[in-house]
Amino acid sequence: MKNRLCKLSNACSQRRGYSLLELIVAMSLLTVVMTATSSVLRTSRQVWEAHEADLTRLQTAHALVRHIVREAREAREVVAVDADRPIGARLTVRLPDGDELTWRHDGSASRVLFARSSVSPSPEVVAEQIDSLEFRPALIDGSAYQPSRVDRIQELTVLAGTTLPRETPVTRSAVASVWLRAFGRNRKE
Amino acid sequence: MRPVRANQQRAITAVERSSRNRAGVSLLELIAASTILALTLVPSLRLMRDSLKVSRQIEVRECLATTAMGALEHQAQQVAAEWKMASGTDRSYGQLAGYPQVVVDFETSDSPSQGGLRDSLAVVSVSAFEDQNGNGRRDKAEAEVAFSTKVARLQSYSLEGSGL
Repeated sequence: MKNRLCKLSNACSQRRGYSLLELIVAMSLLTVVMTATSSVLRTSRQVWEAHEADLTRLQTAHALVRHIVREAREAREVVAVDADRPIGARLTVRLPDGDELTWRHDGSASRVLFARSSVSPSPEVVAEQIDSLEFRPALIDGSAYQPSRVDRIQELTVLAGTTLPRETPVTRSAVASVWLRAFGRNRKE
Repeated sequence: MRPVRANQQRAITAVERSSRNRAGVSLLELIAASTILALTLVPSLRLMRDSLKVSRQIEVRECLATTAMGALEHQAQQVAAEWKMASGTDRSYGQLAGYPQVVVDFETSDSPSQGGLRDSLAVVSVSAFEDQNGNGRRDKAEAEVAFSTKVARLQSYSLEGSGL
C-alpha cells in the first residue's frame, strides 16, 4: 500500500504544474491563435468600414442626382448652366411659379450647394464628398448646345462623381437624364 | 491502525482521481476551446461576408434605379420630340457611371396591343439590369429595375423638335 501511494505521489509530484517548455509552447500557440484571430477580425472590420464609407458616398451621389432630376423635371426653363464642366459647375432652372433653383458645385470642398430663391437666397449644402458635378445639355432638335441657346435646352444629363478612398482610388458616378418638359415656351415668346 | 489505513486509502483514491482528471483535461480543453473559437468566429465571419454581399447588391440596385429613371426620361423626351418608335440596348449610362455591366433595354411603342394609341399615345418602357454574364440580355438571376410611362403626342412639341 505504501509503495503504491509513494508511486502515485511521485507521479503526481512529477505531473504537478507544467514544465517551462510546455508553458512556452502553450503560450506560443495561444499567441499565434490570438494574433491570427484578431488579425482576421480587424481586417474584416476594416473592410466593412471601408465598404460602408463607399456606400455612403455612392448613396449621396445618387440622392443628389435624383434630387436634381426631380426638381428640374418641373422646370419651365434653364436659366443658366455651366455645360460640360465637371468641377465648379452651376445650374439654375426656373419653375412655373417663377421660383429659381440653383445647384452649385464647390470644387474646393467637394460639396454641392443648393438655393431656392423663394426660401433663402443663401445656399445650403445638399451633398458632400461629391468630387465632380457635370451637366450635359441637349437641345430639342438634337443640335449641339451653345450657351446662347440655353432657353432651348430640353434635356439635361447629370453626372455626380465621387472618388472611393482606396489604395488606388476608384471613381464612380451617378448618372441620370431629365426631360425638362419646357415645350411651347419659345413659341409663346 | 485501521483509521490510518483508511486515510491512506482515501489519499490514494484522491490522488488517483486527480491524476485521472488531469490526464483528460488538456484534450477536452483543446476541443472545447476549438469549438468555442469555431462557434464564434465562423458565424461572425459569415455574417461579415453576407453583409458585404448585401451591400454590394444595394450599391448595384441603387445604380440600376437611377439609371432606369434617367433612361426613361431620355426615351420619353426622344419620343415626344420625334415620335419615332424604337427598341434597343443602351450601355452608355452604365459606362458613364463606372458600372459597365449595367445595361438598359428600352422600347417605345404606340401599338394598341402594348397599351398605346397609334400616333397619339406612346408607351415607353425601360429595364436596367446587371448583365453579370455579359451575354447582353437579362437572365432570371440578374437584378433588374424596370419603369414604364406613357407620353401623349403634342403637335407643338414635335414642331419645335423639328425646328419649325
